[in-house]
Amino acid sequence: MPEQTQPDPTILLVDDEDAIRGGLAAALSRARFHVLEARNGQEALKLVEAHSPDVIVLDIMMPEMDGREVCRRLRQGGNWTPIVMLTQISATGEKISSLEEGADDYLNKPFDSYELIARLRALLRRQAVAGKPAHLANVLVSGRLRLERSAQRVWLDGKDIPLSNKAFGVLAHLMGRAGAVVSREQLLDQVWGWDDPAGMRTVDVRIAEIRRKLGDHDFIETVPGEGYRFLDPVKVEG
Amino acid sequence: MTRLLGWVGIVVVIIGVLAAFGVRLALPADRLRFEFWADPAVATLIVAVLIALICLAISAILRWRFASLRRALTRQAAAQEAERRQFLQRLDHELKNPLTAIQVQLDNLQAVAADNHQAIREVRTQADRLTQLTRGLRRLADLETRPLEVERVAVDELLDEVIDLIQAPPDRLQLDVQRAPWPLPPIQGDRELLLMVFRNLVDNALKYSAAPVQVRARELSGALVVEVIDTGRGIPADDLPRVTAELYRGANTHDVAGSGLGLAIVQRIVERHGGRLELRSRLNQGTIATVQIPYEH
Repeated sequence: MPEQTQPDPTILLVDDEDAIRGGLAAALSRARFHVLEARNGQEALKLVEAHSPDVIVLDIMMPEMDGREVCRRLRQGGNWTPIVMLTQISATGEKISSLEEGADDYLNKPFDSYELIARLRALLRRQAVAGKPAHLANVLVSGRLRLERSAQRVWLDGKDIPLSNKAFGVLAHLMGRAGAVVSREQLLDQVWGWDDPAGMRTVDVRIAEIRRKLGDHDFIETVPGEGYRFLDPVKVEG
Repeated sequence: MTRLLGWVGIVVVIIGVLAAFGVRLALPADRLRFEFWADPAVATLIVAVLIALICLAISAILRWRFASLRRALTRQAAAQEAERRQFLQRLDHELKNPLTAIQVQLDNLQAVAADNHQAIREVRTQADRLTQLTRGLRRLADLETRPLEVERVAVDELLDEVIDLIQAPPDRLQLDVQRAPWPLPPIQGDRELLLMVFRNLVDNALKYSAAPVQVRARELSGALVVEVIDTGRGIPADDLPRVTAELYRGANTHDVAGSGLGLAIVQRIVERHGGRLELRSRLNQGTIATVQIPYEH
């Protein structure tokens, strides 16, 4: 049966560990995903070509071609299918590099299947856009504010604004999802990346830093009981 | 030892010189005619100088040997430390994939087994414990490589946040931060790591003590000094020097859940801030954990 006609979203699961891949495939099928499996990067690329999955789960450490390389090749080829990367090392650097390589989300091993399913649903809910989505773009511009992800710098009216790494991460995350409310939990998870969250107030401290350093401009709105939202529209450059 | 030999050399020369004078004075007048080689005073002096030179030479050789031995030991200790850290990292690495498989297959098992099957619950609890352990190991490894994000940190706000995070009932925690004659100055440090330090210490104190825990913060001789004081079960004297080692747990803690990594993480973070962690404890009386971080580091 051709996958395109399936009402359930198609997921490509790429991991060289049979026990993990098999276990996840069963759990994802129960959660009404149509599951394709690949053992390595080469197989993964062939399956993407043949079946155009809706979302990809990609382990990093694999023989033949690792997850990073798969991600890089897909993005270079203009394929923006959402990717969840299964990182092996949780150091912030590792996470940043997976995001730089174009993964939409990452998950640390060990995780349980419910965690993964929740992430996948969140990714699939995001409205599909043609071309590179804002959360993967390198340069984001909103009025007088300009953010460059690779250089980790922010300019307001052309003036360089020094932000701490975490404050930069929060601003980049919110700008990449302009208009959407992002919860403190999501920010902690995506920007901090520690398994044991540092606490909600930690997020507020960084929001306060961004507001203080960007002056009186109301770029970020507090949505009581929900989280934060970047208000103005954001343009993607590069 | 080598220093002693050096001193022996000097003393021998002095005694030799004095002995030579003594010999000259003690000799009868008819022997006062000076014959260099036959003069017993000269002979005494030459012997003394020879003994002194031998002593100094032995001293120099021993000193050189000790220094190279010490260097070798330091190198060996550093290599062992690096190896130990790598081992912990590898352990974390090797645990991750099997643990993921266990977690995922447990979810599958739960989907087909009777609701809340006791055995599944138990396996999950144990898998969660291992998961916590791998997270602790990873955090420790991260701490070695992660650059500190240093900024100005208001200690009173940070401690308030710790209390918020722990959600301990108000009668279990007493916070006492220096307010007079001047307020506690802010410290330069990595805010989130410092939060982890105080959170771990307060968590520990609450875990091992039923009575209220005190947290005191002061500025003392150019350092921030935070004490976490509990009146709990204390740490046995034999364990005290080792409780900050990775995976080490005190003999009297086995009834309390823990990974044996908390204090190791605390110590590593404090060291990276140029400070030190000191633990004083008396069995069945309580423990004082003192964190000292210099304001200038």
